[in-house]
Amino acid sequence: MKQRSGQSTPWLDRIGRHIDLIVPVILSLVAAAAIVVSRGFPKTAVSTDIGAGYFPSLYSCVLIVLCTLLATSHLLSRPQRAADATAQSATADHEFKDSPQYFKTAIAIVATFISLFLMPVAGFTLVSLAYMSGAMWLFGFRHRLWNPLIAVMVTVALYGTFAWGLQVPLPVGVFFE
Amino acid sequence: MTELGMLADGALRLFSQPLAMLLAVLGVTVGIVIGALPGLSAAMGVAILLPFTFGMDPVSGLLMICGVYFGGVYGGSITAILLKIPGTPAAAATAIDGYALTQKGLGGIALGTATLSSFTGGTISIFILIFLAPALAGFALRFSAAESFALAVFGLSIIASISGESLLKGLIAGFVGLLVSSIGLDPMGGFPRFTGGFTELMTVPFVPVMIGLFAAGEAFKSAEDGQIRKELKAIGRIIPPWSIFRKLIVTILRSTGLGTIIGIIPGAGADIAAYVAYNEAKRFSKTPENFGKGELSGVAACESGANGCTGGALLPMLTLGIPGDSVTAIMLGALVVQGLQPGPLLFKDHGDLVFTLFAGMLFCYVMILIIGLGSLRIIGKIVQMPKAILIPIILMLCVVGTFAISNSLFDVGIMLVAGVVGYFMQKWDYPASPVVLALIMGPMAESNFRRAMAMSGGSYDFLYTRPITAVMLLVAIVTLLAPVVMRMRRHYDSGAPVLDALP
Repeated sequence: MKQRSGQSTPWLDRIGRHIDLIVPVILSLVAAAAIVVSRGFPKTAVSTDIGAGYFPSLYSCVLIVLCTLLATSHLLSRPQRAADATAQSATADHEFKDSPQYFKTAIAIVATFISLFLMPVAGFTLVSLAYMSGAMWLFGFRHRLWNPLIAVMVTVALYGTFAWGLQVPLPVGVFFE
Repeated sequence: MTELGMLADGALRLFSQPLAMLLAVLGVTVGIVIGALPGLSAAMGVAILLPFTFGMDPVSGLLMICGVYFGGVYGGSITAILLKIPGTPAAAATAIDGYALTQKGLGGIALGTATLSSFTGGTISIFILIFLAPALAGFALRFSAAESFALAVFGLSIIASISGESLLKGLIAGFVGLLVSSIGLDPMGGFPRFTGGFTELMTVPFVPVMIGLFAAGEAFKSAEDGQIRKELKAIGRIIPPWSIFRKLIVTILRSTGLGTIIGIIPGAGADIAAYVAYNEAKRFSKTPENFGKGELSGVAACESGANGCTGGALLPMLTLGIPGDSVTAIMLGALVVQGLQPGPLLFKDHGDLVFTLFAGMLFCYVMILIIGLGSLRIIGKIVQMPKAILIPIILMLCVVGTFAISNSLFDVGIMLVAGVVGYFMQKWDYPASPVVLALIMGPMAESNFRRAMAMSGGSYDFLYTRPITAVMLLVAIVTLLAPVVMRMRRHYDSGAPVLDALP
């Protein structure tokens, strides 16, 4: 599928351009929270011990410094990036290239999380069959016979290896308990 | 008893364990296929197979992991030569001359040379490991808490050299890893830190995090790309004639030596070894103009260099407990899961097991030679498996494999979160290896620092009064700063702003 890369995911491109600002801000907030929480950690009975909160606080402080450096360098290089972006969009008007299929990744991530939540209820076997068939279909392998057949083969192979071979009690689901 | 005698005993013990040998063969096979499949690295293969080893005895489990590691490094050359798609980063150098040879109808000879060079390079590097490891481990036995802390700091300083394009992002990833490593019970007082009341977080769940970052993250990233399919050319004769191969022997031996030395240097991996070996082969060649146009010694140099790296990389991991790259970091996790603590005590307390492992590693390389030469035509077809089938299989393996660690869906959740984080880290150029390195070295640094502080009566003087500690901390500072200085110097020479070298 050929798409204009500039038009396919403008919001992702916008986030991507400022990611070196967004990530440091988020990480700095997490690090600051870690420092606050670390202050409540007690010291041990050893009088010379520096306490449970020393290292987390140290890591957090260095993290904040590094994040500040990254954010600052991002802000300082802003005019250069603006020029680059203009040049890039001018090129994009003339060139077509394969656009990464972000939505497939997004659906794959969501589907994997849903599978995780369904596993205690529906059991490993049913979830694996549905997940395998659906994911293959999503990624472009669409065959009425092969999709379910490969899903069954993979599920049986995994169940056999883990449940029978390694004695791992894979979830059977509330309906089959 | 000499190393050779212990190795012979180890070989006898290995031959009395047919299951371990079978699993080593399985590991090598899986490793070759994973290495050959574009987008799947040796690190991913080791991460996926890690949970399978939990129920096994240490020799069987660790040999399977070693098989995947060695097979993965070698397997990358197959697609590099046949399709010009490097299965692993190390195989990118192999693709230069390998694919040119395939286009000339000499793909089979290139593959055969790659297999023989990988076998030779890997086997020699394992022998170097066997003879150097006990001496290094004996030296490290004198370490107390202060030296162990300095060793952990030195391990962490490698982050600078494995940061990739952006040093700042690598350091940020490393410190995020260190912060995550402080989740769980405080190593001195046993106080729960950042657990949020979840008992599952009492210990750092680093295996689920590793599987998520390396396997699930890669799979999510692969889901973005389109299908990669190229027509496979005829392979032809595989084993090179002796008249041709004997001219490559010097190149293979030189590249193996370079690969092993590079492997020992923490932070430098098989990809660097392959490029350095290729460059040196070109420099020593009487016909350097043929390189890039289908020069067989180029393929031999890359493969012996990359596989020579494996024994070198295992040396600091086994003797000092310092993983030099992501694969050895995951392997270190596998050792810990098996109840073995990598480091000098491993050789003192489990000497028999270590030498059985060494014998098994040599066996793995013999298997690479046999399976490699025997299955090149079949693997050539397997590597064309559609990603649409491969990605769901990998993701389901990640889910089941993580569940198997402690029969906990909570761990699977952590793995998936780490997978999503790993996916975005790849998209935004944050390297994942520093996180894993920090997760492993962080607790070691903290516990040993606090123990050393307690032993020195609350004084920091152990940092500079103990010679080994002081030297290692100095080396750590140099290791951390060297890439920064080199980048700044490159920027200065090119006339660019020096501070731009950091991000």
